[in-house]
Amino acid sequence: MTISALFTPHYYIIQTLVSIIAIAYLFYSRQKLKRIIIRYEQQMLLSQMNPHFVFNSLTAIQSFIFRNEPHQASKYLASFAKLTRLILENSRTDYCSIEREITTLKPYLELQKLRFENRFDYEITISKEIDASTMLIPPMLAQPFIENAIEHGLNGIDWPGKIEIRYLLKSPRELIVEVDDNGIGISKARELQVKNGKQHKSLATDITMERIKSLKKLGNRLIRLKITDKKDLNANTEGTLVQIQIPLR
Amino acid sequence: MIKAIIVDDEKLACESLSQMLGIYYPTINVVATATGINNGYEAITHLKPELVFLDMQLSDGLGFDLLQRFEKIDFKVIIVSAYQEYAVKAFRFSAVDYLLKPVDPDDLVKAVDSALTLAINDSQQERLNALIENTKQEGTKERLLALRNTEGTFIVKTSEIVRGESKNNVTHFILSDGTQIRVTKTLKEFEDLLRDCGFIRCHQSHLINQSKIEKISRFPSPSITLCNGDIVPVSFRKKRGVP
Repeated sequence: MTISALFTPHYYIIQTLVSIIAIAYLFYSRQKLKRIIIRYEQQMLLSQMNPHFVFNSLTAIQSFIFRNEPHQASKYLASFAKLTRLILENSRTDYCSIEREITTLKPYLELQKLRFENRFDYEITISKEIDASTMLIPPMLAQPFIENAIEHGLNGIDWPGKIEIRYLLKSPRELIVEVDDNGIGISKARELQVKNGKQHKSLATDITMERIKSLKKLGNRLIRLKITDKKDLNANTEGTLVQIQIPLR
Repeated sequence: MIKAIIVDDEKLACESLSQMLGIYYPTINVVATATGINNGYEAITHLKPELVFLDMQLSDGLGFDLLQRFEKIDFKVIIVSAYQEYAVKAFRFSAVDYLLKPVDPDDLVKAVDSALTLAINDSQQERLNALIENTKQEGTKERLLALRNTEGTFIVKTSEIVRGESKNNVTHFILSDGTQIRVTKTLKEFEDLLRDCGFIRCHQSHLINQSKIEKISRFPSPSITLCNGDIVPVSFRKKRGVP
């Protein structure tokens, strides 16, 4: 075989094929890398606990220590530990059961009740058709909105506050999570924030939109978010209603 | 008895702090607690406390807004805050006393001791004003830096500082108008604080304002000439940070 045989059309085909395979492989690994990055982003967003909540809860626990109430102090310290543990664990999974989600929300709500001295109450309901132990959802999607309801909606009202968290099945393939409070309503809460010179930036909506976007990139169907000031529905009611529509797998 | 007021929108935080004060400072009498700017202002003007513990996040605004209502602050202020990075930085720039929540009892003792021993005329007003300015200018490179030494407190603009030099754990600052200020703090502390304001540590004992560089020379040894003519050496290990 002479050297010139290397440059026959036959070899060109092999060369082209090899380069196509190499490019395809590169493209594939890039895509894979992208997915890994998105997954890490998700985990990071999930493991973020609002620092304001963290440090104020710890301060509330400290108050029981100085008031010499070891039982209360230990109880809330345990709640704090439970919550931290669950959030850390949840951040490693893309999906968790509704049951587990509620197990995480409970210590969170208890700690918030402690901070706000029982000025609000909460209720979590799951509609009958839902099997909470097997139905899977992306963890902690509703949490930022619960936080908003407590810290901006219910804080400072002079009537008993109430948050209802509802898990409803809209169709066999679609779950709705509702966060419904009887606070001042989102429009007024925003106005107050601006008036008090605090930067008007909704971390809750930002984080959630970010998560919804990356969940979509991971191949999930689009999660939809709807926030309503209840005054717009009925002038006699007050509060905010957040609805998160989650397509089920 | 020393009269004190706690302003914090978290009731349990007020309680925790007043319990702690009761244990460590029986001579301090917490005469009132307030949750916001309006009732805080009222309590302070009526009860005239000597010491005010002020949280930054209040129900109806920021702790600074309360301070700004007073023409003259004739009480000692100790700022209490749940963690917020930008705020902590602003406190350090302005050299004000602050406590982070939950409060470490040792830090509380230190802060109260320093507040009670210092004379009221000791530049607190200037430092608090600097703090308010600094929080307004969030996002820009320009800050007000409070430099405290035995002669008093100097509030300088970061853009006026040419360089800092460390000699035996004392930092000497040289300003563009030629003034020198000595502070008994390490250069490292200022390096951390001033990094975002365009300062670089070009040598073990030198911190320079990047915008004041006039010339960089490599021979005979690496050095930087600054706008006031000062020549500062660049150490081999820090070379990479120099533009």
